[in-house]
Amino acid sequence: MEKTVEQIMLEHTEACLKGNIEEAVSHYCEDAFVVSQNGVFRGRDEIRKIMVNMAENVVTPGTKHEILHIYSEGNIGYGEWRAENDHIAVLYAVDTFVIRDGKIAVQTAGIVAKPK
Amino acid sequence: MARTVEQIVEQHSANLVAGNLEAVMADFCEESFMITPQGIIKGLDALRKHFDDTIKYVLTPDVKTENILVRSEGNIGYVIWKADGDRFSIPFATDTFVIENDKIMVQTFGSVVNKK
Repeated sequence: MEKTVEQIMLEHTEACLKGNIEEAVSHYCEDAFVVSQNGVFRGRDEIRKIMVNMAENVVTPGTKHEILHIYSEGNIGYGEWRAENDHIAVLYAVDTFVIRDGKIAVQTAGIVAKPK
Repeated sequence: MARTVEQIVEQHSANLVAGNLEAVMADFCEESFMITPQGIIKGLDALRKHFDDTIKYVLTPDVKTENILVRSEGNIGYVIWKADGDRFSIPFATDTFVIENDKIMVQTFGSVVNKK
């Protein structure tokens, strides 16, 4: 049975929080891209670098993560969240996903984070 | 000549700040929808009410807005902006746009709002 957009988002969030980088990367189309404050990241190899940075510096083991809102409409997903661990506080983050054939074709991300 | 995605994003922002509701609405169609922290806004009537309320009650003359960053990739637009007024400050906000045939099909929005 086809996954819903929200299921895809939640599975991706779980993989990111567990540091399952290859699983998180597999959630993207081969030609996916991510747009963030730091630039545009095209293809799985570049997106892997984001996942590695997130795992090493943002959502490290033991991070408290809270989803504020999650919505979807058609093939668009939207999630707001925040997180905290010993070395960083993500005060606010919002992601938008464009889903195609069960995978993330586009993600945009905005984040407000403060090192501790 | 067709507008670029960045031109559409910048014009949307300028039209909203100028309080030009008709110009804002001209960039949407009946299939357009928006996702905000408050939920999903679908169709021209609901979007008109949303932007009318934004112009009347949020972007009052005391509020100054500033686009920090505008980027695009394919048909995706992305903006980071901030605002400050007498009643609130928005130290961080981000909008994502999905553009098709010179129209905003999808807009998502997230922000940090601090009341004064």
